[in-house]
Amino acid sequence: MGVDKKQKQRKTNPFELKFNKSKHDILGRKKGAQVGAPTASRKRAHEQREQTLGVEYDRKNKISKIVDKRLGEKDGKSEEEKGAMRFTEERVKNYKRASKFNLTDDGDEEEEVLTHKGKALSDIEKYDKSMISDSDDDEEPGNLGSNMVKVAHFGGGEKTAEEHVREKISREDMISNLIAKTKLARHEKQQQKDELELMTESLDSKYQALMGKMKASFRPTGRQPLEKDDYDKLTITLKTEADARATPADRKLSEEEEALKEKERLETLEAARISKNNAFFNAKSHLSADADVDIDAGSKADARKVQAKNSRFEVKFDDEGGLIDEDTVEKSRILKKNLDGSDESDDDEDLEDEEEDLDDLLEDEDELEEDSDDEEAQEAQKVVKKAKKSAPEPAETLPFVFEMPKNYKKFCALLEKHSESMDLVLERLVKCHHPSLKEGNKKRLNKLFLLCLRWFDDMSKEELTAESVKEMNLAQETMHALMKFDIQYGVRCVRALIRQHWKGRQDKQKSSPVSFGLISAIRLVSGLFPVADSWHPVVVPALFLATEALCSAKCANLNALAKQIQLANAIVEYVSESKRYVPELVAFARSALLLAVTEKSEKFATNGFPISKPHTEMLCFEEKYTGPALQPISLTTIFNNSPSDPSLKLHVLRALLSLIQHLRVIYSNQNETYSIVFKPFLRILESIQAKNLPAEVQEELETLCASMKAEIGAKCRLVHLSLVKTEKSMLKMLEPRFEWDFDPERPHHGPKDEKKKLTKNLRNERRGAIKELRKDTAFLARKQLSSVKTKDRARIAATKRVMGGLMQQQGEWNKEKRTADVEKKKDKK
Amino acid sequence: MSHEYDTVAPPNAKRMKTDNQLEDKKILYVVLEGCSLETAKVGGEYAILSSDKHANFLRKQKKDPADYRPDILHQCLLNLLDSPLNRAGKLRVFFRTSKNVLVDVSPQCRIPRTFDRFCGLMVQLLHKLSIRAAETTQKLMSVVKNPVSNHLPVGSRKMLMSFNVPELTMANKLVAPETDEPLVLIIGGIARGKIVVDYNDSETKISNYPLSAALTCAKVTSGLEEIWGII
Ligand SMILES: C[S@@+](CC[C@H](N)C(=O)[O-])C[C@H]1O[C@@H](n2cnc3c(N)ncnc32)[C@H](O)[C@@H]1O
Repeated sequence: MGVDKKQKQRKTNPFELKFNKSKHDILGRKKGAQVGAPTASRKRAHEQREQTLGVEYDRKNKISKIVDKRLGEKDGKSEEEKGAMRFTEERVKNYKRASKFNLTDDGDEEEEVLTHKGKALSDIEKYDKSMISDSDDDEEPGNLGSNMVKVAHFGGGEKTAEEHVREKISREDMISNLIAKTKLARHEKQQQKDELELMTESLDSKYQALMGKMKASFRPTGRQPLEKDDYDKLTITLKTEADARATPADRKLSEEEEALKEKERLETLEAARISKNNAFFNAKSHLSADADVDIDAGSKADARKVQAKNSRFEVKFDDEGGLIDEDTVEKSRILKKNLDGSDESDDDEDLEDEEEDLDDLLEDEDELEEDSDDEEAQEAQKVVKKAKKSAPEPAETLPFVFEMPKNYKKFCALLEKHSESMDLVLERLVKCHHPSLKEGNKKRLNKLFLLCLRWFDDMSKEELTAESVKEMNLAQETMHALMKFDIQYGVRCVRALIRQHWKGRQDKQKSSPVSFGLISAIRLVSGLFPVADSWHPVVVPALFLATEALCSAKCANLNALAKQIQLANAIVEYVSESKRYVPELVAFARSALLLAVTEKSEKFATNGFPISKPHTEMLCFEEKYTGPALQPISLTTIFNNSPSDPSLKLHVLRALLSLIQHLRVIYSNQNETYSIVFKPFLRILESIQAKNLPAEVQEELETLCASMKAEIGAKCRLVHLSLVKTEKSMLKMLEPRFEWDFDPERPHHGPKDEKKKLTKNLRNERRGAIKELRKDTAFLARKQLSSVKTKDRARIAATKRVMGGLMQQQGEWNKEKRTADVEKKKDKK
Repeated sequence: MSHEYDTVAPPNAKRMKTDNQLEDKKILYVVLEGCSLETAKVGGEYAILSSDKHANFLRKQKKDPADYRPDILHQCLLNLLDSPLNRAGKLRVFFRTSKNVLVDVSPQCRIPRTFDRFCGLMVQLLHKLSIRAAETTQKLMSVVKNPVSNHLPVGSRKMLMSFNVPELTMANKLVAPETDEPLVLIIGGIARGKIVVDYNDSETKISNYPLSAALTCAKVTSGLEEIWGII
């Protein structure tokens, strides 16, 4: 074959070959067909069409044809041969038809029939069936009972008497008899059978009925949805909850009990509220709280308090100062209000029942004492006895138990008496009157609180000495301890104190410098209450009072200024935790600082400052300071109006600097506004003439300046809005996508690959089909044309032939005519 | 479009017409001519032909193994695309293989560090005609239409780098620092012989010693960094 192909190829004309140019030759890859022979392939296609489509075309419009099936007609065979052929054909045909089902020897034509005595066996067999059949088909009509058959067929031998008789009977009779007998037997049999059947049926039906009943009772399956009644449900619940513990039902409570319960619930809620306050309070009570109260003692104390509260009656003063047995209804009313109304309702409450000043409160208290003197005396006696057992034994001579002083005078006297150990006295007073010890102790402790407050207030109004300061501290400590027992009463008292101060400042000393009493009151508040709370019934008014005082008071001289600075320090204490911005404080500090420079870059921010020359430079140091060495500013010098001493100026300046330092630290968390607030400070601080100050103050000033500058620099966030310039640093490099399963033969492999392939295939196939069809039509057209042409050619040839003949005829005729004419002429001539 | 890039915009980034004045004219075009990069089916696997790996195969195909040096192209591309000049967005790279396939390399393309990986990527390129970035659909390499002069800026100076020419220019004096126009350098990515192209205006050498193609690329980029002040 190969040789053949080569020869063929060699034969083809090189001009008939088409060469394919390969564009992307890849070494090692099998190349496709490099060369093609278009003419040869076209020829092959034509030939193929000729064999398929051409044949069909030729047969077009030809519906049927005659097929000559005569044997040997076409070959021109002799008659004999034809006969032989026909015979064999016939035989073959027959053989083919019959042989399929022929079991017997197929040699001869006729079917072999088995015979018996000249009759075909098949005929006999028709009647022989009864012999073969067994007793089963006895009932079949035409079959005789086996007995009959026995008698009829195999009779003979010994003859019974009966038979002897019967011999005489004619054959017909016998037969009819036989038939009758058979019929009877059959009938009997039938009857028996019927009976049996009937019985079975009845039994069956009975059984069925029984089964139906049984079914209903035996199997209550879930398949049929049964109606569940209450009993069923109960059973189920009992089954499923068998292991659940039986719990005794709650006893129905009586009304009082319910009220009590409600009260307890409310009290716990209230305690939770207070504990929130107290937690704060205790956490920062380093100033005033007694030593044994640690951080979490607050919560413990609260717990104790709740316990105590639950085990005693509440005693409280109402608006008129009368002692009332506070019933639960009242209590719950207040607490409910607290619960749902939160702060506002609290506020209302306070407004309505605390419209009195401290003085009023004190008076009320005094009146009250007279009323309840006698009964208390007795009770106190008991308490003493009780406490004697329980109180610890100090080594001193001091009595362990004190009676609660009846009024302020007695209280003062008591303290006077034990002036060395006031703290012990107070402590024991508190201990002896612990509310859990006796009824009414709470009221007494409240009174003690009031007394302490009064003592504190009086002390603050008096001449200031170190002793009095110490005593005030003591009073504060005691108050702090007492606050634990009735915080609401404490709030009320302190609010009254603040109100008194507020009224005082409103009326007379509006622009006068603050008194020590005010400052100490404010400090007391900060010591007793959590100042960090955003809202607090005592702290907030106190803060308002302080800021108002700070703004309105005039700083005419150094002393006044020093007092104001003290007040400012107290305010700083308030906000140091919450970091609240107090504009009055900042403005005051800035204005005060302005006093320290000669060239004032700005006006005073608050109006309490002097305008005229010598006073505006209150804190300026024109010449080198040569006063006594520095020591902390003492309260006594400020508040006792002692003649101003030369070092006061320096002290005030120093206090001011430290105030500013405090402010700087507090507000350092305010990133946005820091630089705006403190830039003016920095400007003023830098223009202070530092060289005249002593070295220590100079150093302080410098550190303050430096730290402030650094902080301003760090927090100076405000920049002018400008066009954002894109930072041109580096071109971003991208990792190329590396396909691990890359197949170079199918480079554009993708998830839609299969579909793409199919669509492409489809398109190609369709195109191929269209091309083929076109070629087919071209082929047919060609074929048609060629047939038309051959026909035309034949017609033309025929026409030509005819015309030729005719012309010849005409010519002959003409010739004849001509000769005839000539002859005629000749004849004429 | 340009602000899409948080860093430097690549020189081939699409811009608005109005950004024309912002367009940087100081761009170096490098055309690596005559690089050997050819795929073949070796033992049922497609690979980039290289002299040391496929020596026998090449000999069987009656080719000279010394002509198949895809590592030169690898080194050159590494040197070019890692250069500060490129990271500053002032470099465009084209290469043309000995089979006349012209490839545009995006400045953002990070060339595989290892040679084998590079070869794998190149097989992918030659069969798919483009390489895209791993995360985005951005084209990092694409086969483009010849001739290369269609892709070069009109009227730019085109210099052919060759060792066998008399004229010597220092790499840091290829352009005057004040001129604000692109420069085209044609470097042969071949192991031996000289490349001849029809679109260059001048020929120059940057050293009196014969250099490798990769070293030429390195010197050229560092020279232009010096000129354009890219440190
Ligand atoms: C390995 S070198 C080709 C060596 C070849 N014998 C020649 O002299 O050009 C590859 C490419 O490096 C560049 N090249 C080599 N030495 C050069 C030189 N001293 N100055 C400029 N280009 C150089 C040319 O572009 C060269 O096509």
